[in-house]
Amino acid sequence: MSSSAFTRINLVACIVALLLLLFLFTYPRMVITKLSETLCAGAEETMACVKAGDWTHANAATGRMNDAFQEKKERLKLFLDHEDLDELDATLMGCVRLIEAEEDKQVLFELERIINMATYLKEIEVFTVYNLF
Amino acid sequence: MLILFVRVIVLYLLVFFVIRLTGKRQISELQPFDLVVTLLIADLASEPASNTGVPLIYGIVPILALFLLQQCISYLSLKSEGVRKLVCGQSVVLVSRGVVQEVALRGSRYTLSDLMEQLRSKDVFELADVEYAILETNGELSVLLKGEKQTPTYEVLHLPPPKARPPFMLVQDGEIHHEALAQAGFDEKWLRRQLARGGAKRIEEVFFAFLGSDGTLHIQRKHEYGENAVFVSVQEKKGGAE
Repeated sequence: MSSSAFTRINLVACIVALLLLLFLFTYPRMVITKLSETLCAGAEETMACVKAGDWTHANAATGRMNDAFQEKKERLKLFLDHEDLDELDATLMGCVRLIEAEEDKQVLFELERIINMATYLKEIEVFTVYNLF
Repeated sequence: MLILFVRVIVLYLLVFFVIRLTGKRQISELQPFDLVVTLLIADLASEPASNTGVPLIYGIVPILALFLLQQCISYLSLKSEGVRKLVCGQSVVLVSRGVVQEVALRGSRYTLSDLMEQLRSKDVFELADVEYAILETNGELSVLLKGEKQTPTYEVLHLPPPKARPPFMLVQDGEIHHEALAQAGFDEKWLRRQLARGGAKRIEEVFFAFLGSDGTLHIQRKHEYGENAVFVSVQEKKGGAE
């Protein structure tokens, strides 16, 4: 692009905008994908523990899952709908309480919800024709 | 509430810079694609500005995307005639050699009333006076009157034209505009002398002093000092003026 057709300030602004967009296209997706995988793996591990009646390990697995989410929650608020994150947060906290109360049926339902929500958060960042429309 | 306030500031600054970088044109002068970008940007900024549940990024990304798109299209329009025609459209001749072009009028979704309205806004009340009327790509109508209806120029009348120089506001609300005074080629001493000629003994008395392009200094005193308008002719001299 020649500077005569495009002023220098426009060129700089375009480059900055482009770099910012490239960062926003890659970084949030990396963070969300990693967190989603952690949450799904943690939820499946907890489900297995609950089904086996191992509440101690289930408690530890949920704790790890919750810690991983809390660590990234504020950062994720920069990129994701705050309502979705608050809902996931509430479901995770509910799961912790239910495991403490050893409510196996309700816990399995809540863990399934966590998997669905984590998958949803990951999926909405994937560029597909279906997401596009 | 403070969060809302700060979010609005962030989005305002972003929208301000984006609109500023896309050009200085006013809404009425915008090309269709510029108008679309401007309207979309305003709409995109409103949701994250008012809803704290929506991340600012949801407003920033589409605004930046629109900005980049607009810059790309502007650049391509500058470089390619084809792209320019596609994006901005083409001007349409609505009146040619005094004849209203009915097909062109229909093609531009223009009624005869619309044409007359646009002509009246150009101080043309008779269709018969129009030689050419061209609908520009920004929606403005350019009008060329028939020869006998055109305003004669000094050149045609073989008259000496007035000296072309810009007018200057030298004093406003009792304050001297030193920059304008210097640009006009005068100093404060000269100004005070001219004001005294116009009856204003002190600068504080002057509501405004306006130097017209014809060399007349229009002085008006403030309401409490009589509010009278005086016109002082400024005599030019070599290398400046008196």
